[in-house]
Amino acid sequence: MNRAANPPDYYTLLQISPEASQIDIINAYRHAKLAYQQDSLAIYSLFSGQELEQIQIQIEEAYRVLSNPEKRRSYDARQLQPGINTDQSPQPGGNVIPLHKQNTGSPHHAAAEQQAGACATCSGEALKGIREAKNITLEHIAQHTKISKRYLQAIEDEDAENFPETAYLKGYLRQYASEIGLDPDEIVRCYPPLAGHE
Amino acid sequence: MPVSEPVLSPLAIRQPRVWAVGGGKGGVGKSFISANLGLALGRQGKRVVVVDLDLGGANLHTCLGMSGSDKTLSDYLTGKISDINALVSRTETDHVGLISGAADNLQIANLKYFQKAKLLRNLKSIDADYVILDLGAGTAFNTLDFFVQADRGLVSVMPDPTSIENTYRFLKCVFMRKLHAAPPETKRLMNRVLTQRQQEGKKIRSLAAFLSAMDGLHPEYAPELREKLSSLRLHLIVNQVLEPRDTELGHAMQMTCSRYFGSDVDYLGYLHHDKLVLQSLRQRSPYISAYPQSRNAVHMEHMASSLISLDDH
Repeated sequence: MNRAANPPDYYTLLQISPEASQIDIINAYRHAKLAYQQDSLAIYSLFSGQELEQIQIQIEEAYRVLSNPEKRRSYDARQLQPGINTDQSPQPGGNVIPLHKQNTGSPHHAAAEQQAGACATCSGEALKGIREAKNITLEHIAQHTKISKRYLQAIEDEDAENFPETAYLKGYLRQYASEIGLDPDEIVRCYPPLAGHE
Repeated sequence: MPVSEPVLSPLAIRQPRVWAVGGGKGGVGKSFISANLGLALGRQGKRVVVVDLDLGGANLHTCLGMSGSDKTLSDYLTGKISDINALVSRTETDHVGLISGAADNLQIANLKYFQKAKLLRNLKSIDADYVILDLGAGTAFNTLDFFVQADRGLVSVMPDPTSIENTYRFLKCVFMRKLHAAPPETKRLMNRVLTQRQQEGKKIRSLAAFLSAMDGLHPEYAPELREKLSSLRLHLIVNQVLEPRDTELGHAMQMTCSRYFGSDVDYLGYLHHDKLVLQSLRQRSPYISAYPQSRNAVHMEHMASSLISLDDH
C-alpha cells in the first residue's frame, strides 16, 4: 500500500503496471533513460545533478531486475511480502513466501544466478523478437551502424564462427543492442555465445 | 484566499465542460491552441464558446480572424451587461462563439476578488457544450484559479529550456493552489509537516516527497490530498516541434511530472512549427480554417476528439 514510499518500487519508477510484458519494460526503460539523461530538456530546473544521478542509478537497477524474468519473480515475491525486504520474516501463510525463501536461501541458487549470465532474454532469438516487436529492420540497423547485415544476422543466429575475432562480435553486439534500445553492457554480459569469455 | 467551488444551481441541467489553456510562459501558443481547438470542436458539431481571459493582453479574437468585439468582458465585470451570454459574439465558424477580453481599460488586467468570483461562478452558465478559457502567462492567482477550477487543464510547452522551466513552475503553483483549498485542519498539518522537515535539516524537495512525508506522519490526511491533486485533469501539448525527437519531450515530461509531483499528467499530443501560422494571422483568418489539410490541423482535430471521448466516458 505504501505507494510513494522512498525509494519508489521498480514498477512505479518505470511507470508500468506489475503485469507489464518484457517489451513494455524495455520501452519504459528506454523512455526513462531518455527522460533522465544528463542533458534532457524534460528535467530542466527540476532536479539537481546529485538527485539526477540517484534517479539514473535507480532506473538502471530497476531495469536490471525487471528485465531478467528470474530476478523479477523473486523481486515480485519480496514486494508482496508484508515485511518489506526482510527475508527472515517468520510468518507462514501465502504460498509466495516459502518460494521466495527457497530462492534466496540456497547458495546453489545464487551460484546458478551468477552463472546464468547466459539467460534466455539475451539469446539471439530473443534479441530478434525485441527488434521485430519494435519494428526495426536489420537493413535499418545496418544503415545506421555501418555494420554489414551479414554480421547482424549472425548475431541473431548466435553464429560466433562468422566473426574473425570475439572482439568483433562483442563490438557489433554492443552497437546492435543500443540500436534496439537495450543496455549494451547487459547484453554483452549475458549473450550466450559470449558466456565464459571475459 | 482562493475562491470556493462555485455553488451550482440545480436548474442548470446541461452545463458546459470547461477547459482552461495555460502555461507558464508567453508566446507558447495558448491563444493559438484555444482558438483552433475551439474551432476543431465546432467542426465536430459541438457548441463552443472561447473566452479570452488574458486580460490586458487579449488577442484571442485575432487568432480567430476577428478584429475585436463591441462587447467585452470588462462590460460584464463593471456591470454594464448583466447576462454573460450576451457577451458572446459569433465567429465565422458555426457553433463557435467568442467572449472577447480586448478592452482598453487600465484596470482590466487586475481583477478584483469579487470580479473573479463572479466570473468563476458564471462560466458554467454559459450556454454551450464546451467553454475554453485562454489564460494569460504567469502564475498570478487570478490566472491559477481559473485553471485549477476548470474541468480540464491544457498546458502548452515548447521544446526549449525557458518554456520548460516556466511550465514546471506553473504546474508547481497549480498543485499548490489546489492544495490551498483544503480544509483548515489539513492545511495546518501540511504546514507543520513542511516546517518540521525543515528543522530536521531535510528540505522537502518535491511535491511527491511532501506527499510521502504526509503518508508517513498523517496517513489519515494523505488520501484526501492525493484525491485533490488527482482531480486535476492535466494534459500536455508540445508546441512548435522542429525535430522528430522533440516529440519525445511529452513522454519525458509526463514521466518526470509523475516523479516530481506525484501526480499524473497526460501527454495529449504535439504540434509542428509552421510558418503558415504567421501567414494565417496576417491574412486574418483562423489557421484551422485556412489550412484544414495541414498536419497541425489534423493533430488538433485529433486532440479535440480524444478529449471529447475522455469526457464522454
